[in-house]
Amino acid sequence: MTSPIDPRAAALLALTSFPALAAQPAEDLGSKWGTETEERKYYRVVSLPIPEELTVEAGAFTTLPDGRIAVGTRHGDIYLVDGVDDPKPEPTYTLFASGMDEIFGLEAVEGGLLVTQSCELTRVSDADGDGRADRFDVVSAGWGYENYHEYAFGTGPDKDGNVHVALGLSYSYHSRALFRGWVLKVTPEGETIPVASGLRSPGGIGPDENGQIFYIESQGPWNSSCSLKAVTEGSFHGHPVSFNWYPFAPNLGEAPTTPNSGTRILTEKERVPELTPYAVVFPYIRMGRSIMGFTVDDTGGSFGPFQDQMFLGDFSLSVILRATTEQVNGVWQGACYPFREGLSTGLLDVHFSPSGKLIAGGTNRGWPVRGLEPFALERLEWTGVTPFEVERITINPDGFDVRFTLPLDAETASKPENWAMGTFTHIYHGAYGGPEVDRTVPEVRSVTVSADGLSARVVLDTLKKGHVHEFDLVALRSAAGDPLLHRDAYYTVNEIPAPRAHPVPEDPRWLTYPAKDGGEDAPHVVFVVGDQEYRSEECTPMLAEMFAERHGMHTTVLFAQDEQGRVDPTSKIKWEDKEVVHDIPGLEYLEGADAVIFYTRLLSLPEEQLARIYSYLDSGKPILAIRTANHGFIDWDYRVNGERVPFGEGVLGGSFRGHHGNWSRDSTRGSVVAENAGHPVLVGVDDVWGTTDVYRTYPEGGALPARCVPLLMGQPLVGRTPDGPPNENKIALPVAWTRTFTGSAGQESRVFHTTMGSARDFECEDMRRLLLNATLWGLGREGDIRADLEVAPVGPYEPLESGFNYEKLGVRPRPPVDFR
Amino acid sequence: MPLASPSGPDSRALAEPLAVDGREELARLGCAACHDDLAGAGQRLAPDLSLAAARLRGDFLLRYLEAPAEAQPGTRMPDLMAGRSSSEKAAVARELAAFLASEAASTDGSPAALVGDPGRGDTLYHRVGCVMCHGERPSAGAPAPLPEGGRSLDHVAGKYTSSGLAAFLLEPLGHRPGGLMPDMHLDRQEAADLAAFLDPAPAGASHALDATLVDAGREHFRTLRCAACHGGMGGVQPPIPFPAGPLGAGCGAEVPPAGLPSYDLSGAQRAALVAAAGQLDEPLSTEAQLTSTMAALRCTACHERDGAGGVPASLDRFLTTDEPDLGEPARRPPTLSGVGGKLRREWLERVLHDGASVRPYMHTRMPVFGDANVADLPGHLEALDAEEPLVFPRPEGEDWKEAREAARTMLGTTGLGCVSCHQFNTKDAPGFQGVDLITTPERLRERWFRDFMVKPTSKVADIVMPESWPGGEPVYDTLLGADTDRQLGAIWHYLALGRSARNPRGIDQPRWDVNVEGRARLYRGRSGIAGFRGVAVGFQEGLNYAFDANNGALAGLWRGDFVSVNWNGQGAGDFNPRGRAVQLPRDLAFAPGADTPEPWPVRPVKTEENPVNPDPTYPRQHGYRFRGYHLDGDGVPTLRYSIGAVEVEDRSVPVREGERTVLRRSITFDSPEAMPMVFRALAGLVEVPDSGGFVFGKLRLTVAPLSPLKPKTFELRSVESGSELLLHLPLPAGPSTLELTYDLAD
Repeated sequence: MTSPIDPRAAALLALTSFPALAAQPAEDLGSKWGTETEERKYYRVVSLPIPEELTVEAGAFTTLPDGRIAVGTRHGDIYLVDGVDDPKPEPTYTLFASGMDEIFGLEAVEGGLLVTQSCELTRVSDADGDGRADRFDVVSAGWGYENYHEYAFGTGPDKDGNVHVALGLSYSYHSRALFRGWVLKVTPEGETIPVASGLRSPGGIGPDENGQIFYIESQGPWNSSCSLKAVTEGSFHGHPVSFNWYPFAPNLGEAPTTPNSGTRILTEKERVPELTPYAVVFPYIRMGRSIMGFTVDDTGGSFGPFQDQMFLGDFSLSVILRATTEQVNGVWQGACYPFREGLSTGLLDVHFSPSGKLIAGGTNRGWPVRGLEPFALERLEWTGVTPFEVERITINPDGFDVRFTLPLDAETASKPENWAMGTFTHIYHGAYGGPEVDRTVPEVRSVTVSADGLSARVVLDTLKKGHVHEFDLVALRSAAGDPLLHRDAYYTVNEIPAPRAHPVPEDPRWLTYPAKDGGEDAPHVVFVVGDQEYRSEECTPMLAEMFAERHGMHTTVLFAQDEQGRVDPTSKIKWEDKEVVHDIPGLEYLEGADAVIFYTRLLSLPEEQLARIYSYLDSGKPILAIRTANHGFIDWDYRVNGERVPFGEGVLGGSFRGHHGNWSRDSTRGSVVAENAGHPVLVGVDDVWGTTDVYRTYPEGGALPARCVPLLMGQPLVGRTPDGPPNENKIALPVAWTRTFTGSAGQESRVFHTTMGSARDFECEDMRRLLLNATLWGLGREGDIRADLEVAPVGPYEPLESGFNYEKLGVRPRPPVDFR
Repeated sequence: MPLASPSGPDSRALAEPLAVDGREELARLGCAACHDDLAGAGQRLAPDLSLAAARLRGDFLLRYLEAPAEAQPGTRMPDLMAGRSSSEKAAVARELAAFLASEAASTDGSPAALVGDPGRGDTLYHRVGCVMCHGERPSAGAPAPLPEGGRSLDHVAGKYTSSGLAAFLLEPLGHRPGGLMPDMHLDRQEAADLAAFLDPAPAGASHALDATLVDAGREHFRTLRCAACHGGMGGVQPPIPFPAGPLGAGCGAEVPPAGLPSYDLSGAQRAALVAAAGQLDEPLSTEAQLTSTMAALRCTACHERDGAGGVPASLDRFLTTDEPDLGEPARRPPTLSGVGGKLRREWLERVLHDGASVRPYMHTRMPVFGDANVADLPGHLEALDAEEPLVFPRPEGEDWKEAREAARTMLGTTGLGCVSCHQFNTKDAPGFQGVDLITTPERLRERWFRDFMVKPTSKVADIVMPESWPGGEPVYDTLLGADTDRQLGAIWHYLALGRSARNPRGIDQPRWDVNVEGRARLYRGRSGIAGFRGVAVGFQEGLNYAFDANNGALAGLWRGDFVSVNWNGQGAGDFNPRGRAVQLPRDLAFAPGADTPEPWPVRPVKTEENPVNPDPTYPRQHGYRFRGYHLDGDGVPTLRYSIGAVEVEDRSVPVREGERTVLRRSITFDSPEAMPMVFRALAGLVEVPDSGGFVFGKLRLTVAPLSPLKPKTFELRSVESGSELLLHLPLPAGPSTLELTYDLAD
C-alpha cells in the first residue's frame, strides 16, 4: 500500500508552469502513469493517416450530416475527412476552406459550419455547391484581438441557439484588448453579450451532458493547476485583470470585489460572491499539464462503460482523461480520472465519430509535448473488454459514493485501510502556478459495498471544503481478483451536501430522531402508536432511535395521547366507553412519509385523522404493522372503489380472531418458512422468540390469503422461556408475512405484518432485525439488507411487561418525552 | 485433464528436442480446435470464411475443398474427404461452396478496389519485404528458389479474384487472424498494385446459389467439423479427447480412417505432436516460447537475434534505403539481440501492436501480426534481455541550465555534430536524415543508450557513428567537467524536452510560404501590414494586397510572391508579404454624412507605457462592421462591411492597363437613401503630380475613367503627418460603384 500522499506527486511536480499559453523555458515532462501496456487491452489507438503533403494540426472537430468529420486546423484550414471509422482507416481529406486564423471551434449547423477563429465567429458555407466554401459571414467579432496569444475557443449553438466563446488573456497576466479573459454569448440574432469574466487562458469550452457550459482553464496566475470551470451568467473565474471591461458589460453591473492574492479560493469566495471555484481540479502533471479540449460520451455504450462522461485531451503529455461533474448546493464540482496515455502528438481536441470512436488530434508545435509526431489524427476504440476502473465518484454528506465498472471484491473493498486517501488545496494567488498545500489525511470510517458489488459508500471523519480529495485505490481488487487499471482518482470538494433535514419539527407532542450519517435521500419512517397492552410506547421509540442512529433514517413516533398531551397506555376504548375519542397529533406528517409502521389497538380517531391514514394507504408507500395493529382502529371507513376495506383483513391480510396460544401464559417460537427462506426480510433472521402468544388470523382449517407470503410460523411454547417445549396441542400459525396492497389511487404498496411484537418481544435481536429488514424491503432497499446489520438498541432497553394491570406494572400516562 | 506421456525412456528422450516444434505444430495445425485438452498448446486462428466466397475464385474454392494440399501446397487445411470417390468429393465441395456463399458477409468488407499497376506492384513486392518469405519473383526467366521455410505464391494467381486479393492484402489479419500473413501497412493503392502484380487476371465468376445445395453444405459443414476451426457459421460439435499414446488410429494416423481429416503427417511430425501433447503441463521456458513464436511468425526471416536468422545473402540486394550513406543499419532491419534491453516496453508494444516506426528511410517495412499473436513477445523480450537499470540523475537549478546549454552545444554541428546525420524534432538535418534524435527517450532505455553512445558498434555492428566517448572518455572535454555520465545525462534530458528543446546549431526552422497557384488566394492572420484582423489576397498576376478587416481599410499592396507565414514554434500563423509592400493608413476609411470629421478618427495606438487599448470600441462606435467575404469561381474575394446603414462590397482584381498590371478596386455602396460619404483614400506624404491622380510613395491612385460613381470633390487637407486625401462621394439611394486604380511601381 502506498502512503496517502503519493511520493510520485512530489517527484513529478515541475518547476513552473502551464506551457500552452506563454513562452516558457524548456521543461521536462515528468513521469508517465505506466499503464499503457494494460490500457491497450481495453482501448486501442489507431492512426488515421494523413497524406504526406498535408499539414493537419487539428484544433476542432465536428461531424457533418453525411457522417464525414470536419477538422479545423491551426493553419486555418477545414478538411472534410471521410473514412475515419473504416476498420483499416485510410481516410480521404477534402479541403473545404482555407485561409482562416487558428480554428478552435467548429460545429456543423444548418447549411454550413460555424467556425470560431481567433479574429471572429464565422459562418462558412458553400453557396454554389461545388464542395468548396465560398461564403464567410461574420457572426460576431465582438471582442478585441491584439496579441497572438489571444486565442478564442467556441461552442456550437445550445438549445436556444446561443454560442459561447471563451477568450484568452493577452499573455498570461494582462487584458489589453476588449473582453480578453471573458466568455461572450452570441445569440442567434448575432447579438454579443458578455457573460463571465476572470478567465486566464481557456482551452476548450462546451456543454456537459446536462447542457451546463464548462470551460477548461490552464495552470498559471490565479490557477495553480488546470481545472474545469462552470460558466454561468455573471460568474467570475478568478483572474481579476479583466475587470477593466465591466464598463462595457452594463448587463453585469459593477465589477466584483478584487480578490486578495495568497489565500484560498473558498476564503475569497466569501468576499467575492461571483467567484466560481474550480469544478474539477486536474492535479498538475499527474493529471495533465495543458488540457485543451473535451467532449461528452454520447455513444450509448459503443465506447465502453463511461456514457455521459467528459473525455479530455491533454496537450503536453499526449494523454486522455475522464471527468464527471455534479451540482451540490448550486455549485458545480466533480472528479477526474486517468484514461489513456501514449497518444502520438499534443492533443488540442477530441471528438466522437459516428460509430462511437474517440478521434483525437493536434500538434506538438510550440510547447513541450510528449508525443513524437509533429501532428496527427488518431482514433481510440474500445476493444469490447470492460476495464476495471472507477466509473465515477459522487459526494455524500459524510463521504463519497464510488462506482466501479466491474464488481468489487467486497472483502478488500470493505476494509477502510484499503482506501488510501489524502486531501490538498492550492494557494489562490496571482503568481504563476502553485504548490499543493494544506495536506490532510482523512480517516476512512467505514466502507459499505453495495449488494451488486458495483459501488462503495465511503464514510470519512471529515470532508474538507475547497480541497481535492485524492483516492489511491491500489489495494482494491475486482471480484475477479484484478487490480484497477488506474489506481488514482481526484474529487474536488467545493460544497458538501447537507443531510436531508428531518421533515418533522421537534415538538413535545411527538418524538423525532434525525438520521445520523443520512444522505440527501435519507428516508422518513413514521411510527403510529397507541395500544393499551403491549407497551408499544416503549418499543417504538427504541426502534425509531435505532433506525435513525444506525441506518440513516429520519424517524418520528406519533402517539395516541390524552387531553394533557400525555401518552396514555391506560386509555379506555370505545367498547368500554362510548364517548371515547382518541387523538394522535401529527398525522399530517404521514403525507411525504416514506414508510409508516402501525402499532395501534382499537383506537377511535377523529375523521380528519383517519383521513390522513386513508390517504397514506393510497400513496403506494409501504405499510408495516405490528401485533394489535391488525385490529388497530374502530369506526374505520376506508374504501377502495366504494367498497369498505378493513385495515386488518383488507390491508394487512388478516386480523386478530383469537388467542391461539394461551394468552399471557405461553410464549412463541418463530421459525422460518423454508420455502421463503430466501426472502430479503428473513436475511439473518433465524432466532425469533417472544413472550407474546400466537394470534389466530384465519379460521381453523383456513389459510393465509393467497397473496400473503408467510415468513415465520409461530409455534406456541409451554411456559415463558425460550427453551420451553412446544405446546403439542397447538399447531404453528403464521406470525409474520408480506403481501402487496393496492389503494384507491391504484398505487401498489408493499405490506409487512407481524402478529408478534410486544415491547418484551423486541428484546429479541432477530425481532428487531425482522422489523428493520421489513422496513428496508418496504422502502425498496432490499439491496442494503445484510445478515449483519447492526440492530442493537442505542441505549439501555428494559421495557415493562405486557398486560392491563397497570398499577402493578407501573404503567401510567406520561408525556412523550419520557419515552425518549 | 492430464495427458498420458509416451511411456519408456526412449520415447521420452525423443520428445525432449522436439517439444518446441511439436508445440508450435499443435498450434499451427489447430489441434486444440477439436481436442480441447490440448488448449495449452494454443491455436493459430483459421481464416474467416465469411470473406472466402467474396474473395476467392469459385473454381479454386471447389478444387481446394476437394483436395486442399493439391490446390494450395503447404496449406494447414487437412483433407477432409480422404478416401471418398472423386465424384463424391466434387459433390460435397459444390455443396460446401454453396453454403459458404450463402453465409458470406454482404460485402467483403473492403472499400471499392482501385486499379492496380503491376509494375508498381513489382517494385513494391521487391522493396517492402515480401521477398523475405515469398522469394524473388522475376518478371522473366526462371523462378528464383524460395528462401528457407518460405512460402510459394504460385497458387495465388488462381486463388483470389484480383479485387479479393487486393482486399486481402490491405487487411490480411481481418481475413486470416492467425497472423502468419502479417499486415504490411499497404495503403489501398499499394494493395491494388501488389494484387495486380501477383495476379493480373480479371475477377472470377460469381457463384449462383442453390438452396438445396446450401442445406446439404450446411450439414457437411457440421459433420466435417469445419466449425471447430472456422467460427461464426454455427455447426459447432462437442470436443474430442486427444488419444493417449502414439497416434495410431485417429486423424493423426499414417492413413486416417475414412471420415476423419487427413493431415498427411510425417513420422517426425507425429512423434513431435505426441511428445508435445504429453508435455503440455510443463511450461516452456521463456526462451523456448520466444523462439517458437519468432519462428512461427518468421521474425528471423528479416531480423538476426543472437547469431540466428537474418536476411540471407541471396536476398541482401532487396534491402534498400533512401539514406545509403548511413550504412548497413539504414537498410537492414535492426538486430533483435538484446532488443528487450534496448527498447522500452511501451515502445516495443507500439512497434508490435501499432506498427510504430522511426526509420522512414528504410524500405523494408516492419509489419504487424495481430494483437493476440504478439501479445507475449514484449514481456518475453523484456525478461530475457533485462539489463541492470540505469537512471541518469536529473540536473537541477543552475546545473540544469549548464547541462542544457552543454547538450545543445554537443548535439550541434559545432559540437559533436549529432544533427549532421540525425533529424531533430522532425526537422531535416543538414546532411543525412537519420533517426530523429528527439525520439530517443521515448524509445530507448537509459542503460542501452549509455553503452551505445560509448561504443556504438558494441550494440549495432556496422553502424556509421563516431565514438564520441571512446573508452568512456569524452572527446569534448571542455563541458560539464569532462564527465561522461554528466554529458550523456545532459543529452538524455535535453532530448526528453521534446518539442521545447531548442534546435541545436545546424538545424534550421523551415520556412512556410503560402503560394498562389491558379486561383486567387485569401489568407487571414495578424500581420504588421494589416493588423490582427488582416486579410491578405494574392493573385496569379503577382500583384497582392492586404486589407485590415478590423478597421475597413486597404492596408497595403505589393508585387511578387504572396506571403510567408509563421507556423514555427508557437507561431499563430502571422503573415508577411514576400515583396516590398507599400503601407497605407489602417484607420477607418469611411465617414458618412456631410461633415468631414475633424480630426479624422484614427485608430487607437498602444504604447509601452499604456499597453491597454485606450479606445476599445473603435471602430465600431463609428459605425463600421466587418461582415465577411465571399469568393467567386476564381477564388477572388469580395469583402463585405457596413458603415452605418450603408452596406459595402469591396472587390479588387489585377487588370492590364496598357503595359502595366494594376489593381482595380470596385467599391459598391448600397445606401438606403441618398447621402454624402467621405472616403479617406490616402494619408501621409501624398503628392499630386501633373500627370493626374495621387501619388503616395510607389503607389499612384486614380479614379478609373469609367467609374460609375464619381467623387464630387477631392480634398487634400494638411494634417500633422502630411496630408489626407478625402474623396467626397455623393451616394445615391440604392447601389453605386466607385472604381479606383492602384498602380504600384515595379
